[in-house]
Amino acid sequence: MKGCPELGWGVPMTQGGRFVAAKQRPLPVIIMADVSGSMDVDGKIDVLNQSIAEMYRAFATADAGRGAIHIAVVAFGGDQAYEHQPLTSATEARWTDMAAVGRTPLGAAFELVTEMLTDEQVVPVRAFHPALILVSDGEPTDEWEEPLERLLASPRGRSASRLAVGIGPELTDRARAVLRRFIADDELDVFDARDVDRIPAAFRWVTVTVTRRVNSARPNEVGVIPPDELAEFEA
Amino acid sequence: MVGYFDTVGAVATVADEFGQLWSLERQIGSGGQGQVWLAAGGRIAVKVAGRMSGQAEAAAVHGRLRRVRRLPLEGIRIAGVDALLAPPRIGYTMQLAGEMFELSQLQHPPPGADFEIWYRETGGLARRLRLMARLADAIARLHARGIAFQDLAPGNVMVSRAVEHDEVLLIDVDNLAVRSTFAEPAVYTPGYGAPEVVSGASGATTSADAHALATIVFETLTTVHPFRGDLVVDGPPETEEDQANRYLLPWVDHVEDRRNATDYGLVPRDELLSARLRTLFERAFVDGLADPYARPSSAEWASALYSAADQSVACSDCGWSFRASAINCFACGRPRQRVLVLRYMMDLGRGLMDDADEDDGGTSSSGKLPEFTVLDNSEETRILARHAAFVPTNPEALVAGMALSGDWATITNYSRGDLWIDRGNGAGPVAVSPGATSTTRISELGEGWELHFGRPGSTHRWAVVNML
Repeated sequence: MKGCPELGWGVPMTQGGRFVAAKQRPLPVIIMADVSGSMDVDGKIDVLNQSIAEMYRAFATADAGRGAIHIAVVAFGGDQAYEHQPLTSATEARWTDMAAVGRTPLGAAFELVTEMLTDEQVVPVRAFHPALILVSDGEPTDEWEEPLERLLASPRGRSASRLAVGIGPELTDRARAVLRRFIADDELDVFDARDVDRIPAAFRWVTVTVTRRVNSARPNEVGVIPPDELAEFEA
Repeated sequence: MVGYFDTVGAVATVADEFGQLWSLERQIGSGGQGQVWLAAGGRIAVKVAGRMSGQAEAAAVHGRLRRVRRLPLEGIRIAGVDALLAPPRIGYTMQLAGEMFELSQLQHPPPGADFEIWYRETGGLARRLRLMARLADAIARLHARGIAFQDLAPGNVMVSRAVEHDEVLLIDVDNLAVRSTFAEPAVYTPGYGAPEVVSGASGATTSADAHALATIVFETLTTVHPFRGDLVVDGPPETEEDQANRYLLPWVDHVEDRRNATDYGLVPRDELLSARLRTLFERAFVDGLADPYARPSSAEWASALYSAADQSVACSDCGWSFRASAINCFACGRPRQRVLVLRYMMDLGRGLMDDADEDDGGTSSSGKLPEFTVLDNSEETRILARHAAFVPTNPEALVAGMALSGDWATITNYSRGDLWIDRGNGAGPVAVSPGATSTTRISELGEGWELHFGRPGSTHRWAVVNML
């Protein structure tokens, strides 16, 4: 049988093609979690641990959209703020519970987060605007205003979408005011989790907000869903 | 968005205008104008419109959906409006084709996956070509009816989740436009909106759809967005938003301007893609950027993609599908085994071309077409109307099958008319009636054997078997 070279033999190739997957753009999510002694009352810390663990699972199984969710948890309690979970891809992050003890060094947490956001080794230039989520049940016990201003003045801190969750019935007006200063957006309010039972809902709201962003065609522009609009989708 | 609500079950129930209740199970897509949810049962999806600025906007959207419903969409792979949701909800139900997911799932590997294995196991190049051909075909049919899709993007294209199925379905019919209006800016997804749409110079047009289509096809086949080179992918999101999405950077394979070149994806691309496809991409992303009319039309894409799909072979070693005209497997480099191909020819019919040649016995004027189909060794190769006819009404109608088994090749006529087989033995063409078969030794196929899809002497297409 005759061959037909005129159909076009390709360029001779010896070892085949190459396969290099472009890395997805990270969408950093940093939870600032209050682990002061008061969080131990009424089992608030337990519910918080469970809720964050649930959020971890949701992020890990979320279909890949435009970017990859990376998650960090900065805990503040005792006399320091620390990276309970350094920024890690959500598919690899494993949750370990936090323990509640001591005071509420929120200023230290703001400083640590500012440091993380400005370090290109942690948040590379290719990352989408981060999401910062502040969860607290009380007033800061250290100097917090200047650290907050520095955070909000930093390019990543300013462009971040910032959410706040106020926990517990004892949340004072002053503590709420701190959370509002952090959000720094008149359109958006603090998510109120007065009852401990509302903490999981607060984290569902965070989960939906973040996954909606990462699946959006405009991850840097998508706004926050007002918490009350979520109500109808809660089980 | 999908992951979370899986464990919760139905997250909400909505009623349609006929009082039918639909339990929304999980979100399968989200666009600028709302979310698409899968209803319990898996074959119905529900689009729930996003936040409205007020009653006026809501009424306008509702009215648009009612108009969309009257557009002629029969026979097109598009999920039209089945039923509107009962007010106060705004949205509609639509039918899916089996279990589907967004096309974007085939464009970029999930985190942690082995790229090469993922690409192959999601159907490889051959399935992606088939899916893209069907997408282009759906868009071409819309365009043929004077309708622009408007917001064509990977999030609005659903494909079969199962690799054995090749269903494609356009969703999000909200923006179907029967005429371009400049009064309101076109709806588009960043990275897919045509340059003239992004700049605000044009509303929704079929040429704007053609740009989005070219972008989606390139991204699906190569896993690289044509305007997101290394500079963009490794740079801040602002480079993508402010430069790439506004076409201030050249496309990734621009021959002279290499600013936006990329090493990501499947390379070399000139080995992966056929010359015909590469020419179309070049037209779409160089001349077509400034001149919408220079872009390949959706119909041109459909034809080139169907051809490329027909001309793929599977590597006998690693299972990868690659161009039949390449000598080596794209993935493992193994030399390609020789394959039999059905090569298409055309006959312009006796006397049509040249009346002066009446005395020479009336030889027809013949020509080779740049098309062939690789004959499958394991199952019957389907010969469709788009292979057998010049302007088929239904390009995907089955005309004949050709099965190779041992030393024998069997042709089955599945059409409603006769086929003609000339064995090259001097006996001339013999008719194969509808439903009948004709068997030939494979070794004799190369000796002047011809398969004619029309009566000898008429204007028709025919085919020969070659070894490639």
